[in-house]
Amino acid sequence: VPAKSAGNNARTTRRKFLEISTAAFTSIAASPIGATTAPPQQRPSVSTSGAIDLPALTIVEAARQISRRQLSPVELTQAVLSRIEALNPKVGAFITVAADQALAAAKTAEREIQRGAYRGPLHGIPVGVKDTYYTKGIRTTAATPVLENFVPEFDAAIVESLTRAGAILIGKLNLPEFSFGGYTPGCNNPWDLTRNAGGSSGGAGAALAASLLLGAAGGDTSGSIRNPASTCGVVGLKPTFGLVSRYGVVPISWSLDHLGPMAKTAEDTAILLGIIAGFDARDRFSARVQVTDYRRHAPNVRGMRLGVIAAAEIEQFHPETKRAFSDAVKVLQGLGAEIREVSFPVRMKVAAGCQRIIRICEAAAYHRQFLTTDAADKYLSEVGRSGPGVSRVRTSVEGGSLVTAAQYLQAQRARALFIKDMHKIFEPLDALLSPTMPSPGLLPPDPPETFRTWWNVCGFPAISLPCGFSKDPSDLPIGLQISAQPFQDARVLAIARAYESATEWHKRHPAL
Amino acid sequence: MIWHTAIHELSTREYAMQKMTRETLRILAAANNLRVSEERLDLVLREYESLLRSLAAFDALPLPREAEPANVFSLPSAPPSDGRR
Repeated sequence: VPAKSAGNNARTTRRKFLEISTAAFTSIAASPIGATTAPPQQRPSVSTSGAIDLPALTIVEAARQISRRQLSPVELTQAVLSRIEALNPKVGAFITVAADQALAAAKTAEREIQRGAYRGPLHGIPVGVKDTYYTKGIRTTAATPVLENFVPEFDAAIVESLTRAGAILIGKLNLPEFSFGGYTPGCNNPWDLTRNAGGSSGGAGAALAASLLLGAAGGDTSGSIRNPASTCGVVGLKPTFGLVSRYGVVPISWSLDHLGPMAKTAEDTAILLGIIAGFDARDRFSARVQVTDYRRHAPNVRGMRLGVIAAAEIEQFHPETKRAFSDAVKVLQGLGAEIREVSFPVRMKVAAGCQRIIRICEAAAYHRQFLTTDAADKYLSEVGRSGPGVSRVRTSVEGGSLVTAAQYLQAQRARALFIKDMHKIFEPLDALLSPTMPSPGLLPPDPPETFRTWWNVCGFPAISLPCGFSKDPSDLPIGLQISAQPFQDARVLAIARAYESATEWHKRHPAL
Repeated sequence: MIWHTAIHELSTREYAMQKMTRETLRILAAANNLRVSEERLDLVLREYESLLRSLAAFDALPLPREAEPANVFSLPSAPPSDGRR
């Protein structure tokens, strides 16, 4: 599916946001916000020339300036669109750029803020969503020719929530066909453009790393938020199952799919979660829980009981990943956490098998509407092709169509026991730490258990955040995964924020 | 630990699996209204055999007789009010 703009890349001239706007901007530019106004855990957004690099701002930084009327949403959106125009051909993060709609929304946000109707920290902030999210009037392709001309008549629940909060939808982000797989064809890792961004929410990870937007929303059935977050050096949260509505999104598997936020920092991720979480009767798995401020927990791990995956469990992981993970555990220990090594019974292998069967059977049911019609011939073909970028969706769902209902339900029965076991494992723990990926940059090895699909099987929340960079090969991000019991999303985010407050990995930018 | 034993046994014995042939797959695909061309039969066959191996990993588990699937049907605790009794 070729990238294209949903409208003309029209540019409006820089406008005066308020009477004080220009003066304020000059003042900020001369006084690096990273040193004067931003807390130390925030990434600096000042270029080497001293000018503010608007697209590199975090949501917290941009929101602070927008709320004070020091930064115009139109100016910010224009800066982001310019950067996308310059870099997307190299990065391949966007399938569709909604430039006209984004600028119109930015102007509306600007008018609202001018008259004092500031909606909150996402007002005027450019964001993107994975191209599986329904967007009214903007095509939703799921990166497949099967849906290449699909223009939804309504917005996904998450898009509704983001829009209601005043966010500016910049465009639709790249993914592998129908979100199948951990490799996003045509989407390059900003840290090394010769490598892939991971997947399936690869466009979101790459766009954030390249500062092509300030926040994003992805999807995670087998680790598809956490994989690109780790691979691209950004933050990605798979929330508790049921916390975020999945209404209006092209699915893989109804009982494993999770939608969640991705951002440059844990605090930004918490802000996004606070906007998109909440009960939605249109999603039959939506949980009736009170939405909270996901920044309510202080970023403090003192006295917390943190489980750590035993060294033997990650023996096959890349040495650089093991080193970074070990260092990250030491940082949290140094912040006062009590570290407890955790080993798992061999039955964790059951989780991987269950996940695979449940995922493919549910996907086969969804895809039956295409497989049994002429649309079947529109899937990307794998005949005569090989390699990580080759789509195997049609073959996978056809194979899944032949698994019996009894076999599918056996997997769901085994899953129920796995969930029960996982609750027991967490009884003495506040959270569990592991590497997100077995290696940086999608390098080998590729061990059979990577500790990501577990959290899709049991529905517990899990976040990935940067915890280091490889030395050989150089400068590839490495991710730390933090998981906790259901609806402890705020705790997961608090631990992540505590870790960020003691480290600087999240402040690094790739040179593009 | 029962699971541990079951999985250990799996790793030490060949798991009996009925062999699927191209011809069987062709019939099964047609019965499911799938359009699997001759050039794609082998691809789907390999995929299906791989899924059977995943199934084998937990199919031998001694699930408690009363174990129910994780996705059982449920209704809201209170019916939606439409103003009528």
